Amino acid sequence: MKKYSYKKSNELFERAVEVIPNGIYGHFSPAPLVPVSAYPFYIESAEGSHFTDVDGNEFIDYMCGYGPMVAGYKNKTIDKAVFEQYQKVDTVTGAPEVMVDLAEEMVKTISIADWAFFAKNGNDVTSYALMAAREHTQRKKIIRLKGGYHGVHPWTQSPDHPGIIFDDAKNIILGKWNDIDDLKRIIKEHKNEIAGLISTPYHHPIFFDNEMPHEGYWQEVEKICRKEGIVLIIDEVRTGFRIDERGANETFGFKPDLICFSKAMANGYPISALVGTNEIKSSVSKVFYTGSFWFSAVPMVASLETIKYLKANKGVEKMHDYGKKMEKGLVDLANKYGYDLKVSGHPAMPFYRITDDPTTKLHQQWCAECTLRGAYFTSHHNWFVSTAHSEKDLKLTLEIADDAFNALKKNN
Amino acid sequence: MSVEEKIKAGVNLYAVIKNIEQLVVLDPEIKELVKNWKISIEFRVKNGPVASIRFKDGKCEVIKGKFRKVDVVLFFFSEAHLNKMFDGNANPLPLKGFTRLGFLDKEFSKVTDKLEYYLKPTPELLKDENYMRINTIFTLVTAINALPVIMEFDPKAKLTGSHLTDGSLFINVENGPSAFVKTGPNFLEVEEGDSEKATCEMTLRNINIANQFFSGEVDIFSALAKQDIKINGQTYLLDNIGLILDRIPIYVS
Repeated sequence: MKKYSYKKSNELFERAVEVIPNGIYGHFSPAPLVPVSAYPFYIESAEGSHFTDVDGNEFIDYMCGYGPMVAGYKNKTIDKAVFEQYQKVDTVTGAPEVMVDLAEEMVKTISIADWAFFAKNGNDVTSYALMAAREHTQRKKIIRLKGGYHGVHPWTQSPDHPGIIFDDAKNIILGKWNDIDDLKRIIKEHKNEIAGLISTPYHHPIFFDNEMPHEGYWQEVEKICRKEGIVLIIDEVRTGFRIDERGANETFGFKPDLICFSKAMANGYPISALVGTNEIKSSVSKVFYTGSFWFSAVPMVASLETIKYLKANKGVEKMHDYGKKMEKGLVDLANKYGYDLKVSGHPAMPFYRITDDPTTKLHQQWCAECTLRGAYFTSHHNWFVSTAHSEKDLKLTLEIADDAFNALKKNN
Repeated sequence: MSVEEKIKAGVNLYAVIKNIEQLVVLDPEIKELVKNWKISIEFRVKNGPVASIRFKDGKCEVIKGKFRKVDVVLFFFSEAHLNKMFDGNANPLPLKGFTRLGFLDKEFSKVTDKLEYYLKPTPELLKDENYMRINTIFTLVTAINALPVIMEFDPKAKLTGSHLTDGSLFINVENGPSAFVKTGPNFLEVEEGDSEKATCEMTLRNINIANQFFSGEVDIFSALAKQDIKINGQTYLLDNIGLILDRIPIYVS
């Protein structure tokens, strides 16, 4: 099988570092890709479940832009509506009509939603949720869970990171995933001080196996939050519209007060949303919160069409089924070569790890070998599948994975 | 005593003078000077850190704590007093070895002067390949041995230390020096080790990159993308150690 090379990507990066901090910053930084030589940095085009880099290498995309692409790049149904809106207006001196349509669609779709508020990035709404919880309870402290990711604003980061100070974390308490006793301890130590608890619906940290909630975990958390007057905030920025279009809480059987969405809600167009119940609506309304581009019509149209598309095409079910088939195929292949490939998390956004080597060096090599052959796999982060991933993609993915396991066996 | 003075003292005692072990190997003048020395010197701070240095058979050994038998004991009233001595602005109080004070003043000072020469580069000096190599080795040794001290006292590094997991990092400069660090929750120790033993590896492309990296002049994200620095294994370990390394320039001028 032919292996890719990335001459132009590397040349572009050389130019980039001269004029952009880190060359490519944030979660798209090549730094966590190991070895970095196996990965492209710059993308030329994309269609369906594939993208092509600036060197002309084509990949089956298992990161989907780290989540936003959910219904295929250049999805005809969604993009038709998007281009029509572009012809009319995007950002203008006032709110677009589609904003009301989108809010109504979200209220209709998401079980706990009585209202929806729109912004741009996931962190816009996770931060807004915190402010709303504080206003609603007139309390200061927020519980977030260790290993959970809610964005990059100072409150989401550990104070030992550059640019963050201890005061930023003064009112943030770190809890433990799946640990009710720990939650009870925190609440006891901070009686009547906790405004909100923010968590992803299941635990999907980077580098480590993902964890589903223990039986009864969320029901107990919900009960405690109700009793203590704590606003329960679910961060579905990563999971939204991949696990359950009604909200992942429906899958896990509980009702939060607020849910944060972004990434997949508009198939790659920039928008985020905070939805919530009527009980907290007046508090949310009091918090002044806005942004220059939060009323852009195009991403709202994209979101409206994406949600409709996913519902009409049983998107969640389709991604789940693809994820399960891929899991079986890859695990069987690993076994054929004598490796144990562990899969955790949800099938639509699985985290894979070869357990034979706890240092993860073997797993990094395998993901790199797959990427060099056209299946874009990262070793540190959960992957994403979309409704555009096809049987043909699956077949090719398994062929690539087979060849990559073969190379791995030879090299170790 | 301020945290800054505590850290500076720890870095001076456990990281800076550790370089003398290599100095007697790498610098011909110093190698010649110490070849017949047989002496041990203890640096003792009141209610604070202790380090000892021993010259024997042309070799030098620097340890945390005390040797069983010591020839000279230099006492400091505080970390600040020790730091002032390292800056050349104070003298220690000799508790033992009064007859060797002349040696310390005339002979041992040649070693410390040379150490300072290698640790304080100028752009002109760095043009010399051999100087650059030795400066890089010393900067690596200083940085690695400073890590546990910084983690113990610096509030940010202390928090980072609590995030460390069981593992080990092997830092290797191609055709150059290497170092091995063992980690655990609130634990970080420099040890003997190699690539095979390490759960995380970092390889620096050459001595120039290493020099820039350990001097804090490299944007690590860009360097990784350009493959000037390569990493593999439990790279999250490096994320945390990187955070502690970032704190070093605050305390080491």
